[in-house]
Amino acid sequence: MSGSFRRAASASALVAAVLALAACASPQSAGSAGSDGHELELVVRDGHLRELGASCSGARPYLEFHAGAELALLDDDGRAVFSTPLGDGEAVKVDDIDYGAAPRIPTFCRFALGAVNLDDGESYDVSIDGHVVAEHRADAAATMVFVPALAVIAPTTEETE
Amino acid sequence: MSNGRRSIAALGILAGVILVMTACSSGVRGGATQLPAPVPAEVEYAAAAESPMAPSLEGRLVDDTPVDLEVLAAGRPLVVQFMASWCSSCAEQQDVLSRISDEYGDTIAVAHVSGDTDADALTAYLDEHGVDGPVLVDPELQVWRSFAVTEPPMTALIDHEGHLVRLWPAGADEEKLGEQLDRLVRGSD
Repeated sequence: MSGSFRRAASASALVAAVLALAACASPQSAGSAGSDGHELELVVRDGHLRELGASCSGARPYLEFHAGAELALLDDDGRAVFSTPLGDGEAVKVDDIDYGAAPRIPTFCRFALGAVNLDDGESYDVSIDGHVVAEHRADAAATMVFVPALAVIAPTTEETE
Repeated sequence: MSNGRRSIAALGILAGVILVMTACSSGVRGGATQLPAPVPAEVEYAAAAESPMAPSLEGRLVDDTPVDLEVLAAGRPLVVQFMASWCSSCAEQQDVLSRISDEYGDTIAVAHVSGDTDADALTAYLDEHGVDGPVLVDPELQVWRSFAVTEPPMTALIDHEGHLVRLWPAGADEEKLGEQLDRLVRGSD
């Protein structure tokens, strides 16, 4: 093997190694997860009156959840292990109450996130356009990321000191 | 310089001046130049006196012009569209508003209230959808809150006396908006 050939082969191997490392360090994006990834959805619990199935974004005070906003899941070190721009949401039922002929009923806004590979048992910060808004604990049964968490503070009628 | 060259230079300067004047007179999309023209002389309006008065509608247009309800409506019914550039349903509603605006012309006014915090995104949206009429910027959502807007789009109809006739969460239905405008503009009810 000539010296120039060996140098070229070494350089190629180095480039391949760098590319592989870069691929490992990059966060997953929507649709890039492996076959063992779980389909994940984001559910914004805004309770807004909408037609069932209508296109939606988060209602005030969750207006930051809208088409084009960048959602990311961050690990303990703050690294994004998954990120995707949100598409349009879809208005889904919040309960099984019969609202009769009412055209608009209480709904949540659900966004499909695609397949995501997360480590079971690990917790991830959920960020939207760089702002952490929730925490998601991953396991095989957890297919939805909820915003907001149901109880942020203990329910009380007492004034905050 | 020969007479021919002087003539060509003069023509070039004239063309440049015309281009600049045209650009200036067209103004900023959504700015003060988009405020309503005078009400047509032959038009009469009916008031929805049974309706409550509309909340305050004060703010600044995209070109920083201060406006209020009186300026935006200019003595005629006003359709107010609450929107944001990222709102897909708002984009779909623009066709409805364009058709209403074309049909009723200067007999009504149409204004947008944008909840955008990104001015560039708003400008791109206005250009993409050919939005005519004044656009009030409301990044702190003060006007939105006054009108109880929780999710765009929402359409409000205000009569020529300032009564809040109707609110349409999720945006106005074209037929129903037309029916309401017919009552207000032609006094048919």
